[in-house]
Amino acid sequence: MPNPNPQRGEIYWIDVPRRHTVGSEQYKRRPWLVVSTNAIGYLPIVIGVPLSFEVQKKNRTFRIAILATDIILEPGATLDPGELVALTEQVRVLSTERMEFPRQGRITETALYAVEAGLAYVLDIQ
Amino acid sequence: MRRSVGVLYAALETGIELMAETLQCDVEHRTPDVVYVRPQQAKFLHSGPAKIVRTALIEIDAIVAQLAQCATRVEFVALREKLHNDYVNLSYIIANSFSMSGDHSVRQQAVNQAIKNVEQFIQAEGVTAFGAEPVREALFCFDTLRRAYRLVYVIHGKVAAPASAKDKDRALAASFNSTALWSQLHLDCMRVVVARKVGVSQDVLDEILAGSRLAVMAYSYVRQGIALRTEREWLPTNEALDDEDRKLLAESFSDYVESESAADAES
Repeated sequence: MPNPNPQRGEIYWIDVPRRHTVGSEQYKRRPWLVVSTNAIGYLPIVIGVPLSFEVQKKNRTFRIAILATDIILEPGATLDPGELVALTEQVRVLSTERMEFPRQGRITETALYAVEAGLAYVLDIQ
Repeated sequence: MRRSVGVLYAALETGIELMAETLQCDVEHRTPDVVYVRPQQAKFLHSGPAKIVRTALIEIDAIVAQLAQCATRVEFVALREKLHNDYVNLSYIIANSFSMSGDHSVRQQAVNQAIKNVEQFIQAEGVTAFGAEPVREALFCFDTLRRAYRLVYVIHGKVAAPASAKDKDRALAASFNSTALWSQLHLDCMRVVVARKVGVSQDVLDEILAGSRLAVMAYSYVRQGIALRTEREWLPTNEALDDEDRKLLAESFSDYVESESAADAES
């Protein structure tokens, strides 16, 4: 497989089957945002945050809304344009083998650091 | 749940637009330099600036008290539009008073102390006034503001942004100042509602929470300011794995393959 080298701030489709999860862990095929530093790009893993389309999950404490204007989709992306919400409490490690290439798009720096605010809270990073 | 998150989200978008509309005072501040303090933190300053800070905070409380008494969202938004410039100007008077000391650690200490005190107050008394979820939201906003201010302190201790990024840096500083103040205005409303035991309607509370949430954007802008100052280059990929790395990776993947096989067998 060619080295896909996913970058921080990019969005990919990833399918996490239900049988790989327990309890409230996120499953099913959904867009994920890569939040890990590009410095670990030599490893075949990324750290990601699942993105949800569900309005009722929006913008509540550490769940950070990403406005449609902050999402730059790739030409030919199958991800519908529109707002997403980053479920920062569901941050996890993902093998690049789970990722569907090519990327769907990326988010702006402003949105990425807004998501980071949610992550900092969830992980209690000072 | 006492409030509709959908309404809250819509209010956030409206809040950003209104903030842009109401930011007419156009103060040219080139660094992220606003502060969040209460009267107790005036003790960090000499008597002259301390007196100015206390007086400005009395005026700020008068503004916030008017807002907290609004019966409807429409009334709240209209009054906020009218009073916001005064709140901003008073906040800059306070910021400038703290700048006079020239010691950024004093500002940082004062902000930390003020946020901690108000946070503890809201945590202890806020549930009765608002219910648990709005308090949780407010605590998240305070925590995010605290992180944002910590990054402001880091920025003040770092070298200036590269010359090529000066304009962007200035725009980020202005955005930090305006979003931080917008958030603080609304968090102050929560504080006053609790302290003065004012009843607040659900739609006004939604507006207050949506405004408080701009703390997230304040964090984002100041974090971008840090990124401007810490451009990093990474090693090329696939060339940095030594034998130990490869062994660890192989082990972690064998665990993964085993759990996949077990899961497949179960299903």
